[in-house]
Amino acid sequence: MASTSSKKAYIATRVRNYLAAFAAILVVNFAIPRVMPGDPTTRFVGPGFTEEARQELLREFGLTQPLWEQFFLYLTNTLTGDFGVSFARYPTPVMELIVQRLPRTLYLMGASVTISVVLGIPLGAIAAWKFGDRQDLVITQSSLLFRSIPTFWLAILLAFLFGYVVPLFPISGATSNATHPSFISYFMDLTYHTFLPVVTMSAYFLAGYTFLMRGSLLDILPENYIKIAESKGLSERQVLFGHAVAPAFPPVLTQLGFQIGRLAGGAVLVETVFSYPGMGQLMFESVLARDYPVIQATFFFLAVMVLGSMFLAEILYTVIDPRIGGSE
Amino acid sequence: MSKQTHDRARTTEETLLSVRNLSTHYREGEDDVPVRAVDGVDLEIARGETYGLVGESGCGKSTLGLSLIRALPPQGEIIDGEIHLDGREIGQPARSAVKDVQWADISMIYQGAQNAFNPVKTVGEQIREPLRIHDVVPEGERAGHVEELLDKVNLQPDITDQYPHELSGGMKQRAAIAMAIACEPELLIADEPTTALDVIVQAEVLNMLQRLQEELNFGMLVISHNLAAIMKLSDRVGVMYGGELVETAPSEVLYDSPRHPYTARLLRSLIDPRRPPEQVETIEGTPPDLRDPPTGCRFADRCDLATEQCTAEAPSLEAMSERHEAACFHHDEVSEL
Repeated sequence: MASTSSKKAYIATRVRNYLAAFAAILVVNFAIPRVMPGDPTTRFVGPGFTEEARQELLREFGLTQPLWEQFFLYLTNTLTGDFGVSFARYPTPVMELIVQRLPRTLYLMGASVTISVVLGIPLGAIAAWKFGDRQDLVITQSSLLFRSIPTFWLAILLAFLFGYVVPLFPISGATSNATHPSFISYFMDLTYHTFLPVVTMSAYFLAGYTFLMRGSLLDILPENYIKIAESKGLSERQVLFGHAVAPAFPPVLTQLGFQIGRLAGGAVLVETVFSYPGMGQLMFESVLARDYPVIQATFFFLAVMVLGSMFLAEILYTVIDPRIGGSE
Repeated sequence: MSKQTHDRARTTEETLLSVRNLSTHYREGEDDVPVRAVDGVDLEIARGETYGLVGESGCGKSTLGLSLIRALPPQGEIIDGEIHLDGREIGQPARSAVKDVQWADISMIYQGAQNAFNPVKTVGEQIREPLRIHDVVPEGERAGHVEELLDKVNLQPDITDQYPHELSGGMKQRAAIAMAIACEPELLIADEPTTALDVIVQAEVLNMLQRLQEELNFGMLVISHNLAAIMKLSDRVGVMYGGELVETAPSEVLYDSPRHPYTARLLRSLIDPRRPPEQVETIEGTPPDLRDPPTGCRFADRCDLATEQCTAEAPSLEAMSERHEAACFHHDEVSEL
């Protein structure tokens, strides 16, 4: 059968496309901080900060070299994992900051993706199955509400209600203790601290998956094979989850790939509101401080995460739907 | 034609399916005016018999089929009447109470076999599924049983591991038939089994259904607007118009001497390659709105024989001759049409 070779061709095409996107990211990532107004010395401006001192600083940071030399240096350094030292937290290596913060953001994202998918898919499926009924109405209306609430506003509201009025949860930091006797206790501490940020981020995306699954299923449900599954004597639940959800899944998977990207944006807001020391907060602070190396590194890692998750989604298509990348 | 239809059938007089006064309505919401898609239909099918149901689109044929197998869409509901299969009432109980009958005793080949299979599951998996649900074949023998079924419809056993998109249209239709007969049902409903297939494949599918019926002796309800295919396949034919059964007779009787003007017009709309196209007739007008059907005969406004009586009162099915019934006040004049 031709399906294995065409599947290889499908994957090869995707790898090529994503490598091109990766190259584009490298270029854009180099350009963005340099086209922003101001430079890293802007924050030193004040009495006693002479033009000579400024030029001296710029030289030290390597910003007086020609652009193409800067680019070449940037390229070799990025690809070898050397992101230089932070300007704002001089001389902490950027990689050290990333290694410290990336796992926290990954945890935040992982938890909210998991929650929104695990809850959103069955909710959307039920809404589609009960199309027009009360269950559908309740699910769609509340999803619409959560979809419309601005993330930052929900973050502030939750922080105010459950961090201040009824202080159930901490509203800053990632952990209470600097050291932990075991991974479990670290994990528990982290979960406790991330509860409100995770709820905030899940709310928005949960609603997205609910709508997507509902819409996708409404296209699938009138199909003959669903009627046949019903006629075979299966229960409603078996028809819905055994026959209808899988063919309705590809759009959800696409969304999943994109969500990681929007989660990165959401992470900036939510981490800032909850003073959660993750990548989002790091990005926010470094943009304010024009901390080029850190900006570039955080952008780079977030972009790679988005690219990676979308690539993964495209590969997963072929597993879920045999028509994609199969024999043509 | 008549010889062919009669030689092959092993029709017994034993009634398999008996439908009494069946009414199925569709409604979108509580306050919506219901669409009376099937309105007081009586029907009997004997074991091993083939009953053909013809009529224009929207006359309630498919709804009748879906009512029998209890797979109506959420908006549809059996309002009145009884459906007896082998003596068991399956029309009134909740759908969940007759699940054991579905596919095991009544199965269906749905209109448009191109979508009969779930695109993300293998063909074999889907043919095997009813065997598991109804536990008709022990688990270890199911794979072998699927291969036998595929052999019955002239398909290679290796398609079990293939996905639907890897099969041609004709193969999918045959696989859908294999799936429908998986549990050796008593009654097979075939809704437009040949529509959307090319002529050669159509003939192949019709012959296959006949052969399988001889082998397995199931009763068959064939729904189609393809009058020629219905006549070839069926022992008896029922003509539906506007949600009602307006005439029913053995197929050759119906062909030779229709007693309802609608049947007569339907027969004359058949395309005969020997006749010039201008002789092929169409029926003027459209079927009635089933939200608000006329009080009299539903065909009256399209009928050349209609009189005041026709618009005032509704004719009911009357015996014309043995096994021939028609619902028309002017059934004697139909031959002069």
